[in-house]
Amino acid sequence: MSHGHEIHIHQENYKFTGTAKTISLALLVIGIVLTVVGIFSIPKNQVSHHEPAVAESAAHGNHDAVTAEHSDFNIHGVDIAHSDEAVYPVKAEHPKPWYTRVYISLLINGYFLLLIGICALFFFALQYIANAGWSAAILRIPQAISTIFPVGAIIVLLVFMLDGTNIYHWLHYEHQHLGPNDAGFDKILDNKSWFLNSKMAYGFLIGIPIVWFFFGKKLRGLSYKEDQEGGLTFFNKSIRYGAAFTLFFGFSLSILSWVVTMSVDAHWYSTIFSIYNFATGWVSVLSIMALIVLYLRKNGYLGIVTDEHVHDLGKFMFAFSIFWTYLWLSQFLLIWYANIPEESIYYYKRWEMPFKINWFVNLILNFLVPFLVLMTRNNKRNPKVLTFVAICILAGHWNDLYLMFVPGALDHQGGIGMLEIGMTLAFVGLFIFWVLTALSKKGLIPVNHPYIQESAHHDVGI
Amino acid sequence: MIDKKLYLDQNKTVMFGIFEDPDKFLDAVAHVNQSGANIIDCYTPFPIHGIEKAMGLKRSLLPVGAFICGCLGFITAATLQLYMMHFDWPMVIGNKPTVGVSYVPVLFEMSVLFTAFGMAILFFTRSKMIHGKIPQERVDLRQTDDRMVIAIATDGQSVDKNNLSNMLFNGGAVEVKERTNHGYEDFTDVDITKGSNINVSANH
Repeated sequence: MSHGHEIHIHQENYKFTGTAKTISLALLVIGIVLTVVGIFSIPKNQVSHHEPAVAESAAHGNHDAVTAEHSDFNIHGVDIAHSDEAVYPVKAEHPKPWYTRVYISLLINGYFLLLIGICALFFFALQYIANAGWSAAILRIPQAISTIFPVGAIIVLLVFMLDGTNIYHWLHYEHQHLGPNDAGFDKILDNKSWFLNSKMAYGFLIGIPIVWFFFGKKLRGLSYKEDQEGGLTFFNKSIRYGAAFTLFFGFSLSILSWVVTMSVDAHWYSTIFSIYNFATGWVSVLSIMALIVLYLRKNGYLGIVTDEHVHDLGKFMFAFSIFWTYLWLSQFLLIWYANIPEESIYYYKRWEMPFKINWFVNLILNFLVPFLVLMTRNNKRNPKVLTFVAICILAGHWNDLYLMFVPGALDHQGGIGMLEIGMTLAFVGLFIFWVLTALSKKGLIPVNHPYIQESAHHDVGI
Repeated sequence: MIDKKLYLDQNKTVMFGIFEDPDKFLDAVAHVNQSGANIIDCYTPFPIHGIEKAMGLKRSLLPVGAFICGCLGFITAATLQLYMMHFDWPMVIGNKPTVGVSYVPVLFEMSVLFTAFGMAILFFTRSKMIHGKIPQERVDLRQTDDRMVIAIATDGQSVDKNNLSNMLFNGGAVEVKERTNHGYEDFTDVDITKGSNINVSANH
């Protein structure tokens, strides 16, 4: 026992070679091949979105109350002449062109990258403003992960530009320029148009990631400079920048989640949605950090990181899986209990096949597995079990995002096939390649971090 | 504070090492533990990281208690709601089923409530801190201020008291004393190593 003594901290340089590189590139290639095959194998319908949804609605049950006779009064599958849905056209659907499925797949993965990247930066900033000591030794990992969010932001922006009108109902509606007396005038979307319009959306989709980018650059730069020069200056500055970023992050991630995700179901809204999105990104990034720490330790890096740090990451995963479930259930429960049509339509869609499967997969992978498996101390400290749970959580949150986007944007045209799996594998490969490359560029240990000794001595007790 | 068992059993002999420096204390405790001595407990004015490992303590069963309390809360909430809302007087609210998702908040809250109360009760019971029940005494007046105290049972056959006290002094103890079976009075200021104390200090 040498608790009173200093542990020697020496710099380590991670080399991104060998199996990890091969696997990441292989995943990328396999993913792209599967994606291409998937694109060729999905059914191609040639519909433009101006066509009324008569055929589609007839094929998928009678709850749309759409009949051919009333197709004149039919906008987006809503029989406005015959129901209250003139006020709440909740069944607004129209068949989407085949390529929307490709864009949606890109959007899910791009948004996932965005969430993971920015939540990693949030983790990094949070350690400074919380004066956390335990995490100092693993800070380079969230730093490396945070470099990937611009990729996600660019993908989301591109999807919005190229296929926004098919994915976002409100964007399509905006292009129609309907006045209050026109047929198909949508009061809800009209009321929301001060926020949900393309100018605002472009502003947010471009502006917010740019501010994030500079915050990320600044915070990472301070940490790297600290390695060279030492001293408390950089630490103190990081606290200030971290606090400023956190304040901005809270609002900006909320706005992005409304613009990118919630507005897929443009008539619907949920006040807990943004924090629910944050929980998704946060628990995912904690899982990824645990995976990277385990991988690095297995390969002989991170000498000062012990089982105690891994245990703490495991606790985080456990706790925030419950946090996610809490929000997920809170959103569901109120809507389910109140049963107001314009709210419950969101869950109505997700409670039908095939999305009902995703619904239960969500509950199992994101709640039951982490909750039951990570409950004991030994499991949190066991690398194999932790790896298994981390992968479950990541798969589960991909599924969660799938369930946020697809039922609203594609409905029955969506599905998880070769395209979605391939695209996701390609993104996993890209992620591994990008993050480990970023990790290999700088030293692996923030050697001059004022809390590095505390981190090396970190002990969670028995 | 020394615990009830120790207090009541006047036939036990106990050696106390009193330390000023927490780091030295931690190392000395580990050393004493490795030597095979029977550590009764350590008393410190503030928590010291890693001391449970140094003392060789086994992991507490409190988490298991927490799990059982949580399950108890869950079962209680489920039974309560099932009986009241479904069997005794079925209440249909908002045309929702009488058994369903609406149970979840109460299930959650009662699990948390039972765990919290159960842990508080279990913790205080286990650490013998139930108010007014257990006679307490101070080993050293400064143990709640700036001294750390280790209590070692010395009534075994194979205990070499001189060796033990040397070990404590070498580890940085400022004072070593022993309570013998001559009664309570003997407990204070019995410095059994007055001679060796000086020698040890000189060796430093």
